[in-house]
Amino acid sequence: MKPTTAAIPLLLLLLTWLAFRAANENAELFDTALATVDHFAMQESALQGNVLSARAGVLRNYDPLVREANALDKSLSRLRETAAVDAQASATIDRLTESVGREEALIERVKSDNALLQNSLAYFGLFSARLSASDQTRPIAPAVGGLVSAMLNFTLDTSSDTAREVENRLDELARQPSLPTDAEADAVRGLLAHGRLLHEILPATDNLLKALHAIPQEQDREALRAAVLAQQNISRTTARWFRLALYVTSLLLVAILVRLGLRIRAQSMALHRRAAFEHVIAGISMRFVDARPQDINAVIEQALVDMAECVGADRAYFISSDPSVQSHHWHRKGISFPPDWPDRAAKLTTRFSPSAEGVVHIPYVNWLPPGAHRDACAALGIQGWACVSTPGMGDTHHILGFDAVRGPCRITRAGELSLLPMALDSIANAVRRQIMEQERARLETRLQHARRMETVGAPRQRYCA
Amino acid sequence: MARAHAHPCHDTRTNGADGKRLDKSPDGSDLPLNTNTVFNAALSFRIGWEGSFRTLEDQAEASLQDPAFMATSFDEVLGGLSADADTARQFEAAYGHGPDRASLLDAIATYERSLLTPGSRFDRWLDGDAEALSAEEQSGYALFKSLRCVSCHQGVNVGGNLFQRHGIFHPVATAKPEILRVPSLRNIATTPPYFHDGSAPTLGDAVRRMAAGQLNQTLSDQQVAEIVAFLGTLTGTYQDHPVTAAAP
Repeated sequence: MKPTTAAIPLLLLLLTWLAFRAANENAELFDTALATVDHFAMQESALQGNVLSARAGVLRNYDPLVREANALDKSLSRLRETAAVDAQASATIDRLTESVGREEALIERVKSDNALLQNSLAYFGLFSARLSASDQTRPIAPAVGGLVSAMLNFTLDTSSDTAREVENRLDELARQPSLPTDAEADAVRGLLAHGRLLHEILPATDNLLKALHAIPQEQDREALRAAVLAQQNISRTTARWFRLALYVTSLLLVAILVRLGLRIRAQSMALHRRAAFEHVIAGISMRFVDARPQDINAVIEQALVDMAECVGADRAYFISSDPSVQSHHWHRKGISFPPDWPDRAAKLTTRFSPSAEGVVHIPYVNWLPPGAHRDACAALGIQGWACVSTPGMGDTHHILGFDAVRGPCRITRAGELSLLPMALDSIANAVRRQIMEQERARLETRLQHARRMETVGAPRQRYCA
Repeated sequence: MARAHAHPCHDTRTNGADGKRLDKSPDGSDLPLNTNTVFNAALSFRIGWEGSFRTLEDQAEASLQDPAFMATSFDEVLGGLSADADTARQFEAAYGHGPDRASLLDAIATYERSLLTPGSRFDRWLDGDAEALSAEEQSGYALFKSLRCVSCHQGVNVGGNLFQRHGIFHPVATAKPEILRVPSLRNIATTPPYFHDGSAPTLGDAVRRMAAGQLNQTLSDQQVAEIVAFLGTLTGTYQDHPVTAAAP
């Protein structure tokens, strides 16, 4: 298997791997992580909103707070599963877990205190209304009114000054002389009990809410989002590089396949040319077999034409060192042989090293290094050359040559070159047969002549005798 | 699967607990706190009087190994379960493998999540059945709200969704632990004695003490009776049978 062919399965494997890497499977993970961060923020906002609703007395029960706290807890688990993309993100999630723990503890305290707060606010309102409905001329009325006013202000402002004012008003009411009815006395006791509880719980609850809102979750959430986004960008950039590599590898694979296709096409064409050349040679051989001796020269001429046309040569020739063998030349119209060519072909052949089969092949003269060889070819107008020489009978040599004068030699494949000796043998055999036929004819002529002489001589002998 | 190995303290044929003030630990001593009913425990946000466990699985894991409660070990429990061919087969069918620690806890928690008691008259009344509550019970519900009992006993489980201090104005029961998970009032009429120390033998006593201790209110007998009547409407059904009180 050639390296180029072997590279194809490797490239396919590489393409598959690159395709998987370029798909950026982590993209979905990062999207999920970002969605989880958003979901976490939403749960967080909903929880804080409901805590405020509870404080305002709007939330009728704490079940939503429980659901949201549980959801926040689950969101943390999902964050740990999806958003722990690196050590920094994991550390951020650890901080978030810690702050959620603090938040939940604070919310539980808010829930507990708020229940008492809502109770005492209701009872404070109930008892103050009950006392206000009684005789306003009694000495206790201003103390109750002052306490109610201070408490109302305290529900809006839980600062230490306001707290001190409420405490003073509570003490003032407690110092009032005992009331005439048990109901009023009970109301004052209830007002004082719930008022003192409110004095304790209102600022405590507000402080819990402040602490709750002071938990720096937003920073950690944003840090986590930034960490996920950073990893997402890295992942996207990596995937982009893999896509680029995928594209380049695809181009490389296409180039290899195209080259392979061209090579197969060239080999196919060479096989076609070789088959056509073989067919021409076979035809020529058949014609030589059928040819009469006196027609062999014409068949050789035609053979040169057929072979030159087949291999795309501009000139073709068959020459022999035997002076009795006729040389044959062919050239295209408008192209001629220079002086002494191709008679000097044998001499030019010796400049180059022929193959074992006697083939000299110069694909393109311009590719020859500058020098005598190149100059010799250029002087003859040769651009490309293919010739074969074989020894004939005795010291004779036959040469069959094909010249290209308009460009590189069209005979390029070893398959075609290997047919040249066969073509030359075919012609040489025909020439040999022609010589032998001529010799046979000559001998036959002499034999007939001898017979005639013998016939004439016999009467003379009888006569002489 | 879990039902077959349920603890005798939680009798699901009656009220999901028992009628004792305090149950005994394996060594014969009194447990520190009254046994909660297992009914509707899955609806509470924390498990146990002190709300020490966030999930039923956590509670089951701790109780199994606590010397004061089950006083056993996972090895012992799992060994026993695995030795029982029928139980092992049921675990295989449910979890694809024999009993192990995780599947055991999941089985217990899953069973406990099924121990809900819907269908109380109060639920039917909330769903629009005006005849489900008597006039006295409706008065009791109105009183329950106006006295602000609903500040803590609210939500789907009528409690069980926050922690609270007890004895805000006056002592209610044993001072320790100071903070308790507010108990659910579902099936409350069937789960005497009351409070974490089991010190209130009747529901009326518990209502009166809670009003004084948490709300600084002294209730009349009429008010107590009305609230108790309302609380009786919170009794639901389990497996189509009304939840009933356990023998003391």
